[in-house]
Amino acid sequence: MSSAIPASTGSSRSSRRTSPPACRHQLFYRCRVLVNKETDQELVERFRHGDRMALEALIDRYQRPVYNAAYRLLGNAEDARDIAQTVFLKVVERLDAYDSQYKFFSWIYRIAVNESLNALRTSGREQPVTGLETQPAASNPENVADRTEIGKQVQTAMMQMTTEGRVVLTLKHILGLSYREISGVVGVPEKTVKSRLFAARRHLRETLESRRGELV
Amino acid sequence: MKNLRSELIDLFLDGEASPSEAAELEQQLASDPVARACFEAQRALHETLDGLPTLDPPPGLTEQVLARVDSLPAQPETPAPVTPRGSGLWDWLHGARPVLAYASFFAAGLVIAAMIYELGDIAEPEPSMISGTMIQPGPGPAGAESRRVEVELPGIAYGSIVAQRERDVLVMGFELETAADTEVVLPRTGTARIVGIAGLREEPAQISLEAGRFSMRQAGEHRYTVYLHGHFPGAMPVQIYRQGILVEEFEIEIPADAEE
Repeated sequence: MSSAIPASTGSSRSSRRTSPPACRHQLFYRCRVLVNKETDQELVERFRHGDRMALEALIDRYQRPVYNAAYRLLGNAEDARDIAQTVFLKVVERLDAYDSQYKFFSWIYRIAVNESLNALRTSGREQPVTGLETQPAASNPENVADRTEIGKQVQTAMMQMTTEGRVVLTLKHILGLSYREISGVVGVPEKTVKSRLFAARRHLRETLESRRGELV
Repeated sequence: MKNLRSELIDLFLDGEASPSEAAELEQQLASDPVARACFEAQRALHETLDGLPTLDPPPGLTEQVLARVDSLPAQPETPAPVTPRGSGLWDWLHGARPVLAYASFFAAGLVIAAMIYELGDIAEPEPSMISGTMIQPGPGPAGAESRRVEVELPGIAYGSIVAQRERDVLVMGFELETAADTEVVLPRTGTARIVGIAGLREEPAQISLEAGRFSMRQAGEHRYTVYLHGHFPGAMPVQIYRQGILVEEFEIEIPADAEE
């Protein structure tokens, strides 16, 4: 019944075992799809038909960008975690409203941006913080991304700019979207995206220059 | 003028400049040292922003979201595209028309085929979260042969690996207890591609699927099944690594299809 064909490079250390392994109580726990080359649309359709694994795959696929976008917008890892959870719950709740002729990433990033901005409004942090009020992002031990000095300075400077600027910078440089894609997420013309990006970078450059006294 | 030039530089660095805009910028850079200094400064900022490190999402985020989804009020669901008939997916896969079943199965995009490779006193599985993906304990396919390799690598790995085949689907069942930092690898073979993995516990080990190569870095007891689809060679190679060093390599003969 059994057959092992030693490969030419194989060693001889393997031998047959007479007793069964001890872990023979539960054959299958929950199944997880770990091979996933499906498109977002395919996963969405599967989830619409009740396939929970498709949701799991979507969460796995988008948790990093959603979490990082929220972190850059909120400046706080704990808030970002809450927002990431909320975003995926909104995806579940609103999936019927999602029009699959549009890109799924555009839709979920829009939810992430809106939820982050809502959180800022709710907590009264919508306005740019002043230098004195700014808490260094790396003061939170979870904020390992900002352990570098430049990372801290950039995040602090981003928190000092308008939320509009922070949003486009995040979408451009953290999520790597094009002007057109940012336009789709934010709901403004590409020209506006361009001007907001320009203004945000200028603000950032000036802030960093004033802080460090050197050209970035 | 300065703003216009800075905007043009931003456009260029964003990859959004038209060919004529790029040519205009190149002309400015070639003739104007101030423009070149601006360009370098803006490029440095772009590189800083593009190079910002990303945070790893908090561990368990997926599970936390799914738990919260479970607590949401139930919504009416339409049937899944593929629903096993009879008493389970196993029965469905081995029904009267298995070829049709497989075709529908894969056409519907369901990545997990289900087979069972072990008999014995198995406890009832936990309820599946997804209709049609949890297999029921039961016998293997009538007439289907299996090949088993018992593994005993002292201090590294114990257990067994089973291969079973029906037509284009090869099921590799792994039941292994391993030391830390042990990696079980199925190298890419022929045209076979991995279409699903099932049976992982709540805290699966690290899995990678680069270029068709399956790698399971595990420690402790693990039982899982890997499903491959395609045309298979006569044997499936298996490699076991410990701390990155190949300690064992062997092949499991792939049984002939029961229907061939």
